[in-house]
Amino acid sequence: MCLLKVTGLTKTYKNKKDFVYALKGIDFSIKQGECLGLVGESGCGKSTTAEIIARLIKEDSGTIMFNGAEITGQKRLKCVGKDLQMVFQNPKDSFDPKYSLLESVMMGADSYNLYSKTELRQRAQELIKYVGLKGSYLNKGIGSLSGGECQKASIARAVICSPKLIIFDEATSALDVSVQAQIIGLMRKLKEEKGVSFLFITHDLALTSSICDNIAVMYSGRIIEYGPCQEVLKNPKHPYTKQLVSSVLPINGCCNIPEFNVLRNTEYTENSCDFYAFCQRADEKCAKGILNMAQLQGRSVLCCHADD
Amino acid sequence: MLDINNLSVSYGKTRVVRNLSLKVNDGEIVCIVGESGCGKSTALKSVLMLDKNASITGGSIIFNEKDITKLNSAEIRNIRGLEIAMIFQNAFLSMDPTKTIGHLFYETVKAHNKKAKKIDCLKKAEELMKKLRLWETERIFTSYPFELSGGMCQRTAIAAAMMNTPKLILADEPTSALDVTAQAQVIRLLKQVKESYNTSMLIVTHNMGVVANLADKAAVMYGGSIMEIGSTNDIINSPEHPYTKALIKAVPEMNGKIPEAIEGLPPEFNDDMVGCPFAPRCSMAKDMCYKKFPEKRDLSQSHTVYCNCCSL
Repeated sequence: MCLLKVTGLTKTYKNKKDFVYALKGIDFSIKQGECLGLVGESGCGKSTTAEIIARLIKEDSGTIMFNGAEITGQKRLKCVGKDLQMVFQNPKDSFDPKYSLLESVMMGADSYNLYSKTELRQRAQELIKYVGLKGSYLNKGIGSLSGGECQKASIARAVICSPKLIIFDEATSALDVSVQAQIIGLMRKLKEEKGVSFLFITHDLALTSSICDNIAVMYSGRIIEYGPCQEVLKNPKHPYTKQLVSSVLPINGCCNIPEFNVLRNTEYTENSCDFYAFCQRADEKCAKGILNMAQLQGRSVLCCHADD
Repeated sequence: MLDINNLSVSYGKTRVVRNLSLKVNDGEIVCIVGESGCGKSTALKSVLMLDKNASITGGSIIFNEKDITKLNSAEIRNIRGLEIAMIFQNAFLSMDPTKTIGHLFYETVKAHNKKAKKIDCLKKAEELMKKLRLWETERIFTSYPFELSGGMCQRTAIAAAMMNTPKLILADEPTSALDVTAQAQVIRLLKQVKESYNTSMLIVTHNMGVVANLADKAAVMYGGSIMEIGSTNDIINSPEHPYTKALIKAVPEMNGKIPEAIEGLPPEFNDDMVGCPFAPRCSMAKDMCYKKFPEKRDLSQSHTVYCNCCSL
């Protein structure tokens, strides 16, 4: 069953003088129990997508179907409520330092009146244990926890109402690798035992391969490649994805880092493909910017040369 | 070139770097790798005495037959930027937003040579950028730092650091704030610098990929001490210390391997830390690990490990 379906999502940020086209038409869907990785470099619109789905900001146009109902244009609590939760990059900033760990986790259920107070307390205690925090931390102030512990707490808070979808917005980027691996382990546990779906936003390509089923690569407000995670990483089709994959530094074996400083005396116009200036195979067709969507073996690639 | 001997650094009473010994040879890239809070940045900054709150409580830092810990501030200022240059994590923040990049290049030279002329500096800068395969020099020189992308800023900062052709470059997480493609370009540039100028580098990073692709030698730090030091090949392919092994297993890879977590959390610094800092998280730890800091053991000429338990 399709849990989340996003079609034609666009968003423009208005500056004093000009417009920033953050999203230029995003389409994707997440099935029940699926983990979709959304990868791309900073400024490509990953977080904007997440915030629109979580109803934290408004979109310009497009529709979002969540759990069988349209949620576009509605307020957060009314439409998505407990079924969609979010975990942020900096866990410390997403907690009120005044409260203890137990209170902070219980707060995740505050708006929904699902459980009685004793029930809620018990649930919170179980979850804190489940995510791997010590029982002795229960009454500790949330500010005294380390970054990794805090991130586990924010996962416990997100799970307390048994949501259907959790959005992880760079939730592992601020952590050390050993702690990052703990969070990945926890996510796998949640996925297997509770059947939660994830939208996993990250800039770390290698990380997606250990948890995601599918992966969507974003560039400049568009999804340029979408497909099964392993296949996309092993055999990228879009020139940008190729460049991205070749930039990941492997720990065994040296990689030859290609040079991306492609210089072009461009006849770059507003219509040109966004990737035109850096694309290894750009030509006149790309300067005109006729984007084609091609379906190749269960994947979609958005490229001027997609047909070839 | 640089010889750090039994260095200890403290913030107030808390000792954050414990008995660190490290050598950087001519034209060698050495990486210090470790997780946050392991003291790697503190160790690096103390080479140029950049942190006023940190006090060096023991050991020596020998550079060019001089002990840096014994120099006064004027003498250190003569070394900074001229013989030893530093690159920071966020180059953009270390640049003056009211001055153009061209001025930055000029300033770097002028700080050590009052008679320098701006035109000559820019000419030299342009040659240098060409040699390092950085293009669009004209646009860069007339831009302000905020007009450049993060990756471009970082690469420009590296070029600026090379203006005085220092013998040693210190870099504190030079790629951590960047996207993967920009990160790859910075690694590429640092390699190019080494090839063109035979500059030595001491680089602090938490990224094993950077170590594997850039370093000649790597030192793994944990809880303020070096746990293992050896050639990059030794560290990546035949690690000995339990922490190094666990750290490498925790790194996510592209082939879908599930990263293995290290149980527990990094240590906090206490005044009276005895024994091996990794012992509480170590699966091989014995009683003696909690009581005594492990002895240095040489596995080969270039490979040294500080551990009581492994491969005995």
